Amino acid sequence: MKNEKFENNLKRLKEISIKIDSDDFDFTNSIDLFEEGMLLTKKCRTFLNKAELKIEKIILENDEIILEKFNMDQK
Amino acid sequence: MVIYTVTQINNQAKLAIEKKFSNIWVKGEITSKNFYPSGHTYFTIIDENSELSIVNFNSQNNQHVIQVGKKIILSGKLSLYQPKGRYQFIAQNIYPEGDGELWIKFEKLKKSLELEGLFNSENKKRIPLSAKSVGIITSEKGAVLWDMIAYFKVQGVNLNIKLFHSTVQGESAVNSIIKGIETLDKLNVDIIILARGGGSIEDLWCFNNEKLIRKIYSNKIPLISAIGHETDFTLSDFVADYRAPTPSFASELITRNYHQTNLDIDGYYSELVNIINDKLTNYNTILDSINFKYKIKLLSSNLESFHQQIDFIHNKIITKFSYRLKTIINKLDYYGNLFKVNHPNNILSKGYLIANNNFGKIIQSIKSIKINEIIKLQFQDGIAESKIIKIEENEK
Repeated sequence: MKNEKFENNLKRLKEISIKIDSDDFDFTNSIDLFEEGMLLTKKCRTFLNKAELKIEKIILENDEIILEKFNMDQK
Repeated sequence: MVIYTVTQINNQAKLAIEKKFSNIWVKGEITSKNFYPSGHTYFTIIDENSELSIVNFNSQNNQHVIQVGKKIILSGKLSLYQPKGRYQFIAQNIYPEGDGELWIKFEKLKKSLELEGLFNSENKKRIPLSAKSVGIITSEKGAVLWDMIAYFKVQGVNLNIKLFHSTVQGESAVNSIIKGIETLDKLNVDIIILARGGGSIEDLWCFNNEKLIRKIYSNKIPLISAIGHETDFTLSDFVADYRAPTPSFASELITRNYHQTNLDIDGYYSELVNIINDKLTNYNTILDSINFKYKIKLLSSNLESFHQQIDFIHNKIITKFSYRLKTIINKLDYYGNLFKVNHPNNILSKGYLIANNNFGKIIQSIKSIKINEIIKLQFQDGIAESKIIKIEENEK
């Protein structure tokens, strides 16, 4: 998931947290919004926190991009 | 004829001088200097024939340049201090004479790019709320990179960093950095950090290159310029979408946004859970109330049925009881009649007699009497005592 999609999800999550509090919505709608919110929370958290800090060094070979694992403890 | 007051003439002179000599460059050698705690420095520069008073406000960061005996180049404007009627030069930038030529170039290029709109804030790209994929262009040998990595590690920020090693000094650096921007653009990272540690004006000069500035401007990915110390300014800083005063500050910015976003997500999550819990509680209360009403209805309907059962049993009991009562009455009638028919008076009236012994007991067998025994014979209308003279038993 790219950052743009993540930011859209985050934006929607914020909207939902405001919308669900509105009294205009009936309970079925609230449940639908809640489920959507839970799914978005999971997606956003996964996006941010999956995998640990990773550094790759870019090597260019005749304009071809090669990603090489960069040893973070080498110094 | 107009006669000015001293104040009036000083004011007029100030306006005239500032209009004529704004944004100019002056060079000379420093002969004296006074630094005040307010941060202002007053000093004098000379050439072979003349001297000029200079003031530099907010001069704390220029003290290494403002040294007696040093040759300098200044940019700023000429002004007049009205209370004393003395003109002075208000310095904005102060450079050592050797560097001065470079700074004149810097100012010229800055002005022309500024006029072109390259530094306009409305052209700047938004820094993403939380950059996950971060491209860094810097020297892999420099302390800057390791400081940034150490910070990300300590802060537990799960970033995916793509490092483009580039020289960050000298003419070759320009093309290398441009290549870095193009490569990270292809890799579609969320943000690019262009980083370098502090240095002299010559060391940082590549970051004022017009080709590089235009590349940063036209690049589609947001770029943070994190070059040198807080007091170092390059044109890359002006054109970048965000200027971090130092490389460490850039890491802090990314980290702060990352943690803040995580906190925001937690906040939205808690809000959703709390609101839905409140709603559920409300609906449960309503449901309980409906359920209670239903139970009451059910109970009253049961009561009706119960009443019907009681009525039914009641009727059953009544029917059964009246039947038994009738049976008893019938029996009583029967026994009453029987009693009436078999009453002794009825029997005596028919000519039968009842024999009793001396003890009043009815004699039912010939065997219970003896010869000469006196017995009583009961007639319909009286009793006669009799003596047994003979006993003849019926033949069997």
